[in-house]
Amino acid sequence: MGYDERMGETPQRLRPGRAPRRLAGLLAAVAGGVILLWTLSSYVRLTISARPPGATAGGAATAVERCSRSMPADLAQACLAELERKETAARRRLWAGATVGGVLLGLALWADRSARRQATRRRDA
Amino acid sequence: MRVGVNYAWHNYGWDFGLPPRRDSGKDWGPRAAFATHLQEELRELRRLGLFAVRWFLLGDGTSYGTDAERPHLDARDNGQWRFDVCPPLTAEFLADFELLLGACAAADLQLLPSLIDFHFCFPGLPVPGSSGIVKCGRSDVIVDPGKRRDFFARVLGPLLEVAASYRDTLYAFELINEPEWCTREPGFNLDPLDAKKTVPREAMREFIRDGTALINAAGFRSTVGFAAYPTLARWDSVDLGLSLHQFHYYGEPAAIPRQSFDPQWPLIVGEFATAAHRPWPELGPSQDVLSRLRLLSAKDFPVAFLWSRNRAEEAASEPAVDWSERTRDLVAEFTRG
Repeated sequence: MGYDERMGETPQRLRPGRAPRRLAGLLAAVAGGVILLWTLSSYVRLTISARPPGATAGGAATAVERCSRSMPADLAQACLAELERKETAARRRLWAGATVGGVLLGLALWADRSARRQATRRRDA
Repeated sequence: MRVGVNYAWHNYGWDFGLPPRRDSGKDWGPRAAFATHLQEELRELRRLGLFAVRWFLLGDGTSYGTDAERPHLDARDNGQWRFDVCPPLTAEFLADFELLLGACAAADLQLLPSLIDFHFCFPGLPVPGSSGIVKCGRSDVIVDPGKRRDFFARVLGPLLEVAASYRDTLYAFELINEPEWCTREPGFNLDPLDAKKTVPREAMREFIRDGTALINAAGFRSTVGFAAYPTLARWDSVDLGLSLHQFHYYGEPAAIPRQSFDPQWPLIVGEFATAAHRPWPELGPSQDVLSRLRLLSAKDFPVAFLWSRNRAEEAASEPAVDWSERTRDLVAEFTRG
């Protein structure tokens, strides 16, 4: 390989502003990925924790049955409502996590792809 | 084979001692409500030929540690529940326990008390409208060696002292019901993701070993109601010092292993369904409580406890209880030989 050819492979200096933009894209991608992973693990945790523990009479008791066992009817209802509220809040957090993580990752990928497209266009021009 | 029945509670978690209180100051219900019809109920069970009743004492801990002593969420520790102080049992609790022992003695029935249920260790469940009450949330009792010692000194010890006056009535003392459901097994599995698995297996084994030593030293048979047959080997129930081995059978494993433990420290069935529930693979399609009892007897089990006489459980999502007149007749048919 001749000297001139090696010169052609030398990375060109990025235009001012492009490096920070790339870094921001990378950070957004990492943050999005981490949030999505956290959301997934929370979903698995929530699903596993919500199911009855086992196959015996006691083990098969659902959270609803646990709440209402030997409780005055109105307190049992309040307990169930509280359980429902907590589950709804947890699911809302999951949706929020999935949305934020997905948007961040999507934006980062989109920015990366459009940057590559621009670079290709510039090279072709 | 002798047959017993799981009573298993009248008010789960608050059968003994002062009843839980609402924020309005009103009690959830009368204290020791089981006592109202106890004599007739026990006499009826004896008439069926049953020899013992199994009864949950603290259950999920509803009435053990209330108000300032109730479990609380530890925000610093990933949402873990803390139970800071193990309070002593109240005089009312011990008196109600003695009342039960006395009633059993009068009815010529034995008692198998189960100290805590696995729900005791599940994440706490506050009760809106009764801010002094938190169900579950007491895994510290098992995990923290200091709290474990306090619990045994302030709870198990006094109960054993009361029971000492009813030596012939106490069939055995059970430390915990189905501990598997709140215990994290070692190795690679999904248990760390399950919020209900609050106790590492080694801590649970230590709790059982320490409690068992106290029960044995008091001159009673010690037992743990394991949820599954394989746990006996996996947790090494012999090494735990138990003098009465116990498992619960709900259709798994497909074939019930023959009882082969030393007759001095035998293996018993602490629970099996009186309802059709999950069919037993070894029995045909028309199985009932009688054919189940006959099968257990043929497998040399010296004792089996029916689940249960608590008809409120017949409304469960997957009911294991059928305490209808027909079931009771079939039980009586078996016990009469």
